Amino acid sequence: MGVVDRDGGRLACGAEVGVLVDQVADALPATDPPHQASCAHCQAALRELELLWSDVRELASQDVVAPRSLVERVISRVRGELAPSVSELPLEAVVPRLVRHALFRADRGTTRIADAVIARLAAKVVEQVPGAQLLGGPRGTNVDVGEGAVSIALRLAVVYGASVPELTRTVRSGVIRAVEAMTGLTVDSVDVAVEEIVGDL
Amino acid sequence: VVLRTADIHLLRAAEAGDLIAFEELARRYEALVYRVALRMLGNPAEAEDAAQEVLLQLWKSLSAFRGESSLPTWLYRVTTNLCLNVVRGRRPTDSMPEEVEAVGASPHHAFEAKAKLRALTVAIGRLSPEQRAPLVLRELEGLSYDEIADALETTIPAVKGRIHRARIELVGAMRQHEWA
Repeated sequence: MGVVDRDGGRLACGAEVGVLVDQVADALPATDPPHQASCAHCQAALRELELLWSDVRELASQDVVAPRSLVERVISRVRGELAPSVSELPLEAVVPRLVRHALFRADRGTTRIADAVIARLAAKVVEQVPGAQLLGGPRGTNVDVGEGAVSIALRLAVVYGASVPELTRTVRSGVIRAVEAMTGLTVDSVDVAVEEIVGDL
Repeated sequence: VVLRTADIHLLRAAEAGDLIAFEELARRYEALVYRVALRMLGNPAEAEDAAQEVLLQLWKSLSAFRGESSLPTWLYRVTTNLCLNVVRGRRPTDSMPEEVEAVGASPHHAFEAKAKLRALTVAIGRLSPEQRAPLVLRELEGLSYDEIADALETTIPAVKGRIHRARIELVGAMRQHEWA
């Protein structure tokens, strides 16, 4: 038999088991340190409780992953609620385009970099790559500011005769270099879509 | 360097109708909400439904956030309240979690360890809802007594008393499993 009674109860030395349970679970100091240090009953009970409670700690540390469908279902229900009011109006009129920022925390304040700044930087890089033209301007460039990083998606026209793999490689590495050097952000990805071809065909 | 759009910016953007900002918030907290619902309800399908309701509540309550209440605290409160309502609405026969099958036959350590945790989960599911909610928030979510009192809209002594009794119940149940 173990030392801990089913009902909580008391040990042979008179110590309340419930108090020992709280001591273990909350990692508290002993209420009566001299007694506990020298009492075999208390020591044995504490050992058993530590062992049992390690299961609780293990359960607490288990990773529980929400089903993939959860957020999707929520978003589609939210969209459903929005639908009637937005149907007749252009989207921009109902949902203002918000400036999103990359945020850095420093000791004495924060630094925020607007997504448009990153889009402009990317546009500047593309300008310097011969044979490539940015479509849609900085506004046509999608900048996704996420946790710890930024993802950029841009659309290009390429000049007839240019090597698309080479062009996109130059654009991608140039954008990464420029954005990382100027903003300190990590660039997760630069997605390039070639959507037009220009020049004499 | 921490780079993460603060909750409050996402809340403001979502309130103005930015669904992408809301989705980011929902993804940030789906695990918290689902985890608490699962521990409270003991059943993945019910937990997903409850979590969905909580996140929809968040969408409807965006204007309520003015920075004074942190989002996790609000989510803990709404999730536990909703789950308590679900549990209280069950017929008495529904609330008994399924029995854990006997595990003595397997020599496999990982299997036994897993079975122990399942037995613990069942024991948590057998606690009264009034004990289960504060126990889950304390032992599995690591909230302070103060935060739990806030989430459950009760006093700190009441929370301490319920957690104390819940722990004694659990220790009894775990010992029974050990010795079975």
